[in-house]
Amino acid sequence: MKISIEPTVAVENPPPLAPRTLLQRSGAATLASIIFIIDTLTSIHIAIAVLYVAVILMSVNLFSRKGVIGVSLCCIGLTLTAFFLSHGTDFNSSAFARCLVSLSAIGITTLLALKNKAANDELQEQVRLLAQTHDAIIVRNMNGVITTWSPGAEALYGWSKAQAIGQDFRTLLRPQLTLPWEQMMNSLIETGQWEGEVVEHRRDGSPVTVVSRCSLSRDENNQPKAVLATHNDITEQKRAINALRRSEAFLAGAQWLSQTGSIGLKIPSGEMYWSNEARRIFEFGDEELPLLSSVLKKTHPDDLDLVKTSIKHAYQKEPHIKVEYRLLMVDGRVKHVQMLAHPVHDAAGNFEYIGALMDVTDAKMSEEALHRSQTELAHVTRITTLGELAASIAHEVNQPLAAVTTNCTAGLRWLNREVPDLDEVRSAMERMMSETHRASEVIRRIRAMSRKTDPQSVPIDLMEVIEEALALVDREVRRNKIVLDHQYDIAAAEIIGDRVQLQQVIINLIINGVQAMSNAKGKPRTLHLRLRRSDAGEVCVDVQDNGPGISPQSMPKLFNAFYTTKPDGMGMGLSICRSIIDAHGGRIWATSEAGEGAVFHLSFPTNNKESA
Amino acid sequence: MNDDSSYAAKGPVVFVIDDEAPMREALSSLFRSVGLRVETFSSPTEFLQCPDPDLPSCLVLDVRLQGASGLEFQHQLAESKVALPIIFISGHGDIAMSVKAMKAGAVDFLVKPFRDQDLLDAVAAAHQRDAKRREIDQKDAGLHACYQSLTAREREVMAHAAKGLMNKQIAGEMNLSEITVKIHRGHVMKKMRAKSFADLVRMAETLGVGPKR
Repeated sequence: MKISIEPTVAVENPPPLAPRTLLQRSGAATLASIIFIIDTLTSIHIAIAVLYVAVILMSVNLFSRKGVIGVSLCCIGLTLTAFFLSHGTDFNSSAFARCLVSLSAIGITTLLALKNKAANDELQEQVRLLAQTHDAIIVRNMNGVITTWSPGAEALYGWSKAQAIGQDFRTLLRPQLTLPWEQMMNSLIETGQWEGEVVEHRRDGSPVTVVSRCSLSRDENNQPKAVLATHNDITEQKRAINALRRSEAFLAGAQWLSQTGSIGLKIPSGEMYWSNEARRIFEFGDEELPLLSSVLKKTHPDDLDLVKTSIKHAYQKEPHIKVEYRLLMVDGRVKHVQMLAHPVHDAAGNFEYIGALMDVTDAKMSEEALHRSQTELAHVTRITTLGELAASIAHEVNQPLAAVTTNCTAGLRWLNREVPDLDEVRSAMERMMSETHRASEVIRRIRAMSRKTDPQSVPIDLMEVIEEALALVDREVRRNKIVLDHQYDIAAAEIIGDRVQLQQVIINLIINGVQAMSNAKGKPRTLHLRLRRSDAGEVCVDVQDNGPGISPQSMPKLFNAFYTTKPDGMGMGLSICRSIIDAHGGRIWATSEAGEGAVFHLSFPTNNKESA
Repeated sequence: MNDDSSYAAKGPVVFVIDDEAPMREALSSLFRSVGLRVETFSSPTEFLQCPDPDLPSCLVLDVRLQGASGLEFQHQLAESKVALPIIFISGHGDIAMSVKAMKAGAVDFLVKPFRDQDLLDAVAAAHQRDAKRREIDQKDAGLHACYQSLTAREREVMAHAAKGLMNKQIAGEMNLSEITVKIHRGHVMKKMRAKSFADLVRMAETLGVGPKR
């Protein structure tokens, strides 16, 4: 019969039962059996079955609710069995009355026991739950002595329950409050509650930040009896908040340093977000609402279309937006900004453009200043080069002038003859005209070279540039008894660039070659100039001399500013050549074999229009 | 290269060497306008291929020529005993260069652009110098021919006489009679076509047989 009970229990409590519980259960079963035997076999006229109450009371702490009901039903069954075995179906006897009394007693006891068990189980559950929370639950009396120490407290502070209970709370945890202890206690006694951040110490001495929630419990005389406190560890949270704050501060610092602000634009609502640095760049007030219209208002009128197009692209959800434009401040200052934005989707399907806005005014200004000084330096070196060529150029102009003078006097003499020879006069005048034109061509070239203008970016034929350059240096080359031959391997060499600056580079390279050979005695001096197309399709110019060549020591420094091998050289020529060629997107380099002369190479990317 | 003019077929000639065609043409026109014969060349090599016209002539030479310099060419001409008067024209007023040219016997050194009259004057001077030289050359050539016709004895007498020795002294020196010396002397005067004794002394000096002083 006891076996019939077991399966229910086993299902309810699958884990192996403690031996003690098993023993108690067998005790209860034995007791029930003894009562049954006495009830059945003896004929004592008392309600022995009432004793089953004891079995039920025993089972309350041993079984679950269903188990207790089962035990109760068993007891009722046993009582009825004993009755029928002893008395048969004699329902009028006093025995039957006793049986009824016993059954009522068993039923009432079961009901009471179950009710009590329900209340008890609820309490147990609450305790279990409480024990499971990570929060530390500490109860201390008004002297600060710990009376309750939860598993959460054990885990948090490292002190076991046995170690903590009976200890002074303040000695054990060394709490540090932001306000005096007395003030906290006063507030607690007054209101019955207190909540605040406290830094306490673990068993290993490490600090732990907790949020402490205290409530005061009072005795029946309404006197403060104990303090119930839950301590919640917020050290990690605190660290995370601090880390976030720090990273925000880093970001703000970085934004300030790099003059880069952040902008967010939600699509399609148009809602905006500006970081502080973005506000500073736009020069918006702190209270100004982030609106697209305010951004447009600060945009330079000339760049308005550009910005509007970018915004349109953002609304079209383009994956990448990069725009460089100008802002016009109220006082007329112009700022150059660069914006780089990309879209971000969140899980809810919201679409937002996150952009970095960079104030590049300073960089732009320095770039312009650098550009200006480079242009100026190029001009100065050009003038210097012309200075070096002065003697040749003077001769170049003087030659036609001498011819003009001579033709003029000859013409006059032909006129003054007794019979003027008008044919001779006419041809003299024609020669004067062509010589005047020749002189003015030389002057035009010099003027073009000495002109100080911003570099242009126009399609030019490199061949024409070379021809012009050769015309300017022709006499200088001849004066140094150098044979210059040029070879054009291609019919057209159109590139994008500045005619005068490129001419300057060619002249510089030729003069360098001429000067390199001017000391070479004995062997014939030749300067070879070649225009060709490389295998990669670039337009190339090679200027080759047969002077002493470039030493391996000089080679790496060749294009450095102020590097010169000439006694009166400034060391700017090749340096300027390089910055000019760089600005044209081309390359300049030199090759040389000792004693075999040097070759300077230029290469330019082909004009796209030409190849298209 | 040739501007052969019909104005003065037998007049003096101006040779021009300049590597620049416009300048050659201008100079040619200028010289022709004053009736001079002009021959122009672009290089010394071209000039050397032209035969000597055997007329008073001069050379207008550009200092700076492609290939060789005018000064080098002047030196080259002097080496080969061509005594053609040279007028330099130059685009550069280089003093060192002009000094060098003048020392080497140039008639003038003109810097472009020059006054036409300066050039024409220089050309005239050069022609005059060349005419004189040619005349002297011719005279020297006759003197030599006469001297060649003298016998060995007569040459010896002429040399002694030019030294200023009396007939008697010459006879003593040469172991001859005074009469014989007198006859030789008469022949010398006749053969050398000397008008006076002083004339003969001058001739001896020119020929280098005169008194060594």
